Amino acid sequence: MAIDPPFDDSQTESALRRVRSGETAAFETVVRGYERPLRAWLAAHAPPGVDVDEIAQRSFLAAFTRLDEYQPGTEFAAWLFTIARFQLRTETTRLRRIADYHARYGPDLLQRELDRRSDETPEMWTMRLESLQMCLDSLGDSLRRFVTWRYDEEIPLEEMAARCDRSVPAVKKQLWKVRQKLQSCIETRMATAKGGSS
Amino acid sequence: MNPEDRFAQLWTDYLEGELDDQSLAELRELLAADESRVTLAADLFQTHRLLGLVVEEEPSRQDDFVRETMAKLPSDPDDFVGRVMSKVRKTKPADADLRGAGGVDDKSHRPYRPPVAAVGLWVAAAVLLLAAVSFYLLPGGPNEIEIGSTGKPSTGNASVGGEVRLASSARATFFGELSPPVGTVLVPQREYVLMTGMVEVAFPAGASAILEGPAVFRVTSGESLALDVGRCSVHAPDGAEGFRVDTPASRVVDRGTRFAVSVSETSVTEVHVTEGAADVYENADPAAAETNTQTRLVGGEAKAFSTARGINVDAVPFDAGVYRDGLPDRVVSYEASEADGGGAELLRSVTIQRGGRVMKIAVSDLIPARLTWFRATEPRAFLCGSQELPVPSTDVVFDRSLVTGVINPDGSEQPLTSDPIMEGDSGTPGMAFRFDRPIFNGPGADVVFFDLQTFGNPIDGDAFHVSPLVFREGLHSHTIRHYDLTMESPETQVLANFYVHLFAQPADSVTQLQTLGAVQQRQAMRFRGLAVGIDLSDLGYAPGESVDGLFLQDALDDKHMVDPVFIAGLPELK
Repeated sequence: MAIDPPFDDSQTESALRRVRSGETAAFETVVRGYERPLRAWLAAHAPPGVDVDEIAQRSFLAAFTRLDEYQPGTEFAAWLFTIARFQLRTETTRLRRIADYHARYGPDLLQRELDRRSDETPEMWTMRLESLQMCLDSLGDSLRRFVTWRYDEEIPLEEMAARCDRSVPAVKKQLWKVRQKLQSCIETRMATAKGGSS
Repeated sequence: MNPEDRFAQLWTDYLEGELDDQSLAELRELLAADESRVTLAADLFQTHRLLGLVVEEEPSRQDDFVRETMAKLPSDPDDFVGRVMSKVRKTKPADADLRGAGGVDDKSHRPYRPPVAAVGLWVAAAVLLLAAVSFYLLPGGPNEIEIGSTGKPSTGNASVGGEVRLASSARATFFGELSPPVGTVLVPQREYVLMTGMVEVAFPAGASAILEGPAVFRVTSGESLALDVGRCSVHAPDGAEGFRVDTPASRVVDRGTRFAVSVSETSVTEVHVTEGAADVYENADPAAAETNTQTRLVGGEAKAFSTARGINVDAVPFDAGVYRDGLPDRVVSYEASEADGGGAELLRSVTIQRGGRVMKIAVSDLIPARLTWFRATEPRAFLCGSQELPVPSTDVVFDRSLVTGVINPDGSEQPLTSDPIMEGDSGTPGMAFRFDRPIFNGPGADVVFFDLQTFGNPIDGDAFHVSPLVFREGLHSHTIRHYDLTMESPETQVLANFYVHLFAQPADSVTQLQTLGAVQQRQAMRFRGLAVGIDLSDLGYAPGESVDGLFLQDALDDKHMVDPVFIAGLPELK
């Protein structure tokens, strides 16, 4: 087991060949191999109000139904992410058609900035996700608990305030601080990684 | 408050969903005034979204995503209409016969095909109906009916609440989809294509049907099954009389009995009645269906029905072996604790069917084993577990952890035919273990064996030979190539992360395993815990005979090697 290489292109191509020959179940190998980078990329580029998993699933389904358009041997990841980009654009357009979308969801400047970043490679977003995991591990317990409460337990700000005996504005400040600290940590790790690989 | 503090406040409120329209306008102005704020906002937004993702990175959630995605793959152009119609039918009373509801021709039992011109209307009507009823029936989304709650291992009727459920399965593989977990509510009228293995389907009135792959079947009502091809064994106890199996050539109606139905690819139907009676009707003649008994078969009788050049009924020799009264003995499932970072870690119990009885055995009741011999001929990773291993490290294979073990033992393409040599330079490649106390050969499995596996490794598990430590006449090696719980089994669990310990030279003894230097490497991929039961009868041991230990070798049939992470004897069956 441990002697095997991690998921690679040859495994993808092999699975895709099996899917083309009618073995639908082989598509699971593809979904399993790419769900993490695809969801990470979508999470980082989807505007508020978009269900990332829904778009990720739609992208896999589109890839499955249009598999005859994929040229074996070319880069499947690039093809899949192109599909995902179109799926995301379609969803964003749909949201924009909703009359009060901007009023409810957000600054168009944010959307423009996210669009500008959408050409960054999927690998980079997998790296960012891994960096974030490591940064979380290095976060002190006092700040880490805010992450747990906010993102894992999803408890209301009022309850968070009660738990740590602070005001709601103070909790918001802590969340701002946590995000900034993690963002800074990610940037440092990414810069180190780039330096190490060059 | 200075602009930067105000921006921090507004942006946090925005991410928390607490921004009102007036504040949103203020935030827009602040962003427009300074481009660096847009960059910072986007950075924090992305970190915020990734945080939402990273806390979800539990194996079970990832599995849910993959399973849901696979469940959405289109399997048939008519699938959508079929699914819609099957859900619409859910509005009928639970015990109502679905056959007349428009999905299946009552007499021919072939899928209903509306005229081409009517298809559009059908789809539109179906969508409207689905939209109306799903509001009430489908709070959890379109998969909720199909994928029910993960059931517990079946010891009997797993069908409750008027639904037809998958009661148990053994090495079942379905075409184009993963095997549904035990307990899943089977979708009425949906075509299930069982490629290999067996499943038991439980009906609400108490009838059960065991289907053997390859088979194509549909649940047509709460008391009927359509079998297009393959074999099924039906048990309809008191209260379930009238249960029927429809095949392309006939309708078999239970009259309080046990019977088996086999349908060939040419639609010839063979019925073997083991106990009680069954009435068989001519299915090709709608007028005759169930108006007159065409053929009544009683216990010990068998007949074949075909539609070639009219209806033919031929007597065939009764074969009691055609009827199957249960699934084969096997490891059914297991329970384990969850590690801090997610994934199964410490084994808690194993549920096994032995001699037809399903039993859950606590890990503390299993009979421990010890590694007594190890020899490899090439350097590899020989140990796995945490970064720091216990002392002695070789105990790991028999502790309760499913992510610690003595892995990648050497082996032989040809299984042993004589005693393994367990000393010196000419020692037999492989590993030996002895049980803390003798185990006894009972019905079904006597030893339980767990293996690490990931995608890219053989789906059915790594093949291995198991041999007696001391041969005598009648004893032989046994090769296991197909585990009870494989990569495709819903009961197979995703394991916790672990390290492998890479050795720079081959370890040719237990002592060397404990003393040679090794480099630790954290596994990046998720592994699963496969399991199989080893039956001592398969090695030639007599019923009730005791065994002290066994020898294990990889089958060397491919580049993948077996990775034992837990081996133990099962307690004697009382």
